[in-house]
Formats: sequence, C-alpha cells, structure tokens
Amino acid sequence: MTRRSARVAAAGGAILALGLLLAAPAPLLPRAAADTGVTGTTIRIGIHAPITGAAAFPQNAFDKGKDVYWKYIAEKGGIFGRNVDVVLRDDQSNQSAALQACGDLVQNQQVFILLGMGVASSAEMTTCAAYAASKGVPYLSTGVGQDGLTGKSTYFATSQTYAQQHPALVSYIKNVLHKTKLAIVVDNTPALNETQTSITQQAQQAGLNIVRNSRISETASDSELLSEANALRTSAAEVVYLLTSPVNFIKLAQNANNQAYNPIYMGPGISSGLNIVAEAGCPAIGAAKFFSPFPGLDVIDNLDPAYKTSYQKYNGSVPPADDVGLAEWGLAKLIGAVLQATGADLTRQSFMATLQSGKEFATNVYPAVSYSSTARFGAKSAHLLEADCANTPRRFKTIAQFTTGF
Amino acid sequence: MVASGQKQALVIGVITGAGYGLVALGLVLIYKSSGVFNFAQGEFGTVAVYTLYRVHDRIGVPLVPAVAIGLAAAVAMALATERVVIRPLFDAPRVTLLVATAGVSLLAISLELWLGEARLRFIQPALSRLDRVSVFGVQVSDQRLLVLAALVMLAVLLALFFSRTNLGLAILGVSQEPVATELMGISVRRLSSFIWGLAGLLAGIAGMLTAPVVGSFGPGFLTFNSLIPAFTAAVLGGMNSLPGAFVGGVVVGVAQSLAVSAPAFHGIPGAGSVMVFVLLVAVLTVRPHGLMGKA
Repeated sequence: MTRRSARVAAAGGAILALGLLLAAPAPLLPRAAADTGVTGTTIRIGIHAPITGAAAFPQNAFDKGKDVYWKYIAEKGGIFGRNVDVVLRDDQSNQSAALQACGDLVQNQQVFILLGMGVASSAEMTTCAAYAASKGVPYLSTGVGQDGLTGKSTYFATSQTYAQQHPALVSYIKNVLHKTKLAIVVDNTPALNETQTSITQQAQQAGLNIVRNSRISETASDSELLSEANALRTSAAEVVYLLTSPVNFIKLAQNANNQAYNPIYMGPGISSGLNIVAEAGCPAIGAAKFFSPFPGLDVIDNLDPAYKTSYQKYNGSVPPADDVGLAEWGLAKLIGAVLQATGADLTRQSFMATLQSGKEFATNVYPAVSYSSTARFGAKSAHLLEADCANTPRRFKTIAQFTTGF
Repeated sequence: MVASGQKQALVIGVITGAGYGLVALGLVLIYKSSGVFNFAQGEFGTVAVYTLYRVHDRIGVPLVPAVAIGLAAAVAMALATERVVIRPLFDAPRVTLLVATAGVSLLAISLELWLGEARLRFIQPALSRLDRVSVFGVQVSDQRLLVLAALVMLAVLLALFFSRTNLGLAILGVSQEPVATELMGISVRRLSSFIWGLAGLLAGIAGMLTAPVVGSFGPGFLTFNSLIPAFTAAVLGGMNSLPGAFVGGVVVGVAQSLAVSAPAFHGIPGAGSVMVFVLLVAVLTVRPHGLMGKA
C-alpha cells in the first residue's frame, strides 16, 4: 500500500467509525454503569443523611432504621429474590462532605441508586443531584428547594418540595389559624432563594401581611439569634414561617421565649417536625406546626401497622425511640414499590423508565407520587404535624394526613 | 440620637459579650503568666458542662454538688494538660506550645464525639426567670444577669489577686523573669500548675454559665461558639489585662450584634463573624497592645 492510499484508507476508516458512532442509539445512561449495584441476590442502595452537623439527630437513629423495611421484605421473598443492602454515609449537613459521601457511594461502594435524606438546606441534595446526573445514577431525595434540582436528568423528589407545600401552608394560616401578620425566616443559603421568593409571593397573594422577611446564618451565633428573636418580637408577627435547621429553630424559639414572645411557628417539612425537635424545643416552640413527608408515630399504626412491629422485631424488641426510622421506612417502601414495578430485569435504565412512566406509587406513609420525563417533583400532598408539648414524651402529633390544602 | 434598634443591639451585645469575656479571662490568665496562647481553654469548659450534664441530668446528683464535680473535672483536665503537655515543652518556642494546646483541644473534641455522640444536649438554666429586667425593650433573663455579674466579679477579683497578693505578684514574676523568680525560692513548676488549674476553673465557670443561656451544647461547644470571639476580646482588651478581657468581651459582643442588626448588613451571611475579624485586624494594626494592655 502506498503512503497516499494508506492515508485515504485511514481517513475513510475514521469517517466510517464516526458515522457508526453517530448512527448508534444514544444510551440514556452510561452503559457500563447500567446494572452497577445489582447482582442475582442483592441490590445495593446508598443513602446520604445529616447524621452529624447542624441537624443533630441521634447518632444511631439512621443506622437502626435503614434496614428495617428491607429485612421485612426479605422475609417475604425479597425483590424478585434479591435482598437490599443499604450503605449509609454522613453528609455532615455540609455540601463538601455531601459530595464526598455521594462520590464514595457511587465509585467505591458501587451503589445502584442514591437516596438523600436532608434537613432545611437543600444545598447537599443539589450537590449530590448534580453529581449523580453526571454519573448517570438515579437519585431520589425528600422534596426540598427546587433551585438546582430542576432539570437534573436523574433526579426525582419523593415528597412535595417546599414551594409545593406553600399553598397548603398559607391556606392553613389564613383559613384555620385566622392570622394575618406573618414573618419569614430562612437559612441564608442560595439553595433557598427560590423557596423564599415562593412563600413571599404566595403569602402576598393570599392577603397576608408580611411584617418581617429575613435570613439567618446556617450556624447562627447566640448574638444573631437573640437579635433575630428581638426583631421578630418588635415586628409583632403572629405566625413565623421557618425554614432553618432544627438547631437554629430551637435556639431562635428559646431566645424568643426569653423575650416573652411566643408566636406560632410554622414551616414546610422535612426535619423540624421530628420528635427530637419537640423533645429539645418544648416548651419554647409552643404548638409549632410543620409539614412532613411522613406522618407522626401517633397515627402510623392506622396507616401502616407493619412499621412498629417490624422496627421492634429487627431492633431487639426496642420500640422506635424517634421518627427517623419511620422516615427511612417510608422512603424504603417507596423505593421497594418502584423496584417491584420495574421487574426482575433491573438496570438503571429500566428503573428510570418505571419512574418516568406516569404510574402512581402509593405507600400510605409518604404521599403518592407519579413522575414523567419532565415532571420530577411528583408528590401532591403532605402531612401536617403539631408539637405536643403538654404530654410526655414530647412529640409531634399528626393534625392532617395527606393534605393538599385547608 | 441612637435609634431604638441600635439601643437594643447594644443591650444584646453586652449580654452576649459577657460570655466571651468569661472565656477571655482564662486566656489572659494563661498568657499573662506564661505567654502561652491556650487553644484548649474552650474544651476545659466543655468538659465541665458534659460532666455537669452527666451527673446532674442523667445520674440525678443535686445541682450544687454536680456543679462542684463539673468544675473539678475542668480543673483536672487543665492540670493534666499542664503536666503532660505544657511542662515537657516549657522551654520550647511559644508557637510549639500554641500548637500543642490546639492538639489538646482537638483530642478533647474527638473524645466528646466518641463518648457523647455528635448530638446536642439540652440544658436548663439554674435561674429560670426571664422578665425581671428589661432594658430598652430587651428582656434580660436572670441567667444572663448571672453571667454578667460573674464576669465583673471574676475580672475584679483576678485583678486584685495579681496586684495585691504575694502569690499573684509571684506569678507575674515568673512570667517576666522565671530564672530570677526561681532563684528567689519560688517554685515555677508549682506556680504553673496553680495557674493552669485556675484557668480550668474559669473555663468551667464560663461553660456552666453560658451553656444554659444558649440552651444546648455539643462536642466542642465552647471552642466553636466562643473561642474566636474570646481571643478577639482578649487581644482587644490587651492580652495582659484582666479587666481588658471584660471590656473586650463586651466590645466584641456589641460589634457582632450591631453588624447583625444593621440594615446595611442585612442578608449578608455571617455578618457578625465578619465584624469580629474586622475588629481583630483593626486592633492589631492600630493598637497591637490592646485597649487596656501595656505596650
């Protein structure tokens, strides 16, 4: 072959290869990663959660609850004969740590999907959602702020986002509490910009008088919290909308109580309605009300009798000390429903296709969800919880189940 | 004329700054007598709070003996630090001792995380009345008044101790001329133990008084909440002036509070913390020996 003909052959080969590449159907997800985390006997799932950091959950609460539903299902034959292996990582309520945790779960632990359990700030979930999308890993988290999550190709919210909860929240203030003076206090993180705009607009449209609209540091100092409490008192707000870490909430309520100011605290959910907040914050938090993806322990026996008995069975007969386990149970139950619907031939593509099919997944713990290829915030209702400081143990009780408005 | 909001910020600053001043007293005490920047001071206090919580809230020991046990734990930790870390390094450069105390602090936080879990513990104030005093519309709880009173009392007592007692003068002598002081028959090592024990006691008092004000504590509570503002307070007041620690603490608290409440800083995350650092840099540039320190 002459040098000229060799060049022609090489160029032709390159064009042919390029043509084949372009003509081939583009996979939705990296093909090599499609069945990562799935074997004939197990499905490996990764969870990142704020075990330490601003949320201050009991350290072993996540560990105790993470496997309960999967052990319960394993006894019934598993997911098409497969058991689920859960790997839990601490995101420390910190974006950088969250990225490390999700990176470890995907690259080292080789999980099939990622799940996020979070607190007020959605920054950790935004970070992990971007990372998961870049790796083609399905990522599901409890609903938080929509900023940074919209358009992420592998992301699905398992409960209502903060903005989705606002219409019901505003209608409760107006139609049930019959209050008009509202203050808004939000943790100062860019991930909550859209959420603050949303509640401001919703409240104004409902005719509520916003007497203060402020942001506080994610780890606010004593001085900052006392100043904020004093400003709230001066504003004479009847209801304070809160979207902060539980620690900030409790300290703010204590500082406000020290100023003899006790408004009604209310906010969207994930974590401020947990029983540990009532245990620590009562009596300063009063009858605080928070929306939540899952109900309180007071009604779970009616909604899902298997939870408490299973928790006790797999934790040495110890009854659930808090509701973190219930949050994990509900999330696992939802994932289990999607896995069952996907079938035995489980890949990341088939799992995503099932999620996007428009089928409704109902667990009677988390709200029913349905998604499409463009609609990823698929929950339509939430539970409303109220702090019950009068009784021991101090807990949140459920005052509305699967509600859409008042 | 000062606006109502600024008056309230002043009050808030004074009552929160008192906590910083309490921690700063211990820092100044150690520095004044040995020239060491003690980064473990916060942890002496945190250990006292953990001990108080454990023996009072968990085991049920009455408050007064529980407080005594908590203070004893802080003093014991300070003495152990002096004996195991400081004394072997006594002739090393001061920066080595600084790093060593930071190591003690990190070790203590790790142990607190290990033994006490990474969770907040909630603690009730000994004095629960909230509405006895109101200044410019800001209610000052009895517990906060107690912190303020303790700070003033301890600053005055320590100032008198260093200026009027032989032991106090001996400690000052050790800090300035250790060899000459030793030749005068004064045991430098014994004095060193005494100073560290006293610093531990001060940290214990600071922790036990401020934790109920905040309402909660966790691993590294006093280090994370108060050490940087307290160092700023100590530098601001003058690292060798005990009344300066009091003044510095109040000034830092007021600066933080004004930064948080000023409309110009509204929406800026951590405005209070930024103000602390601005103040620190300004003082070090303009008056390195502090407001009440001697050059």
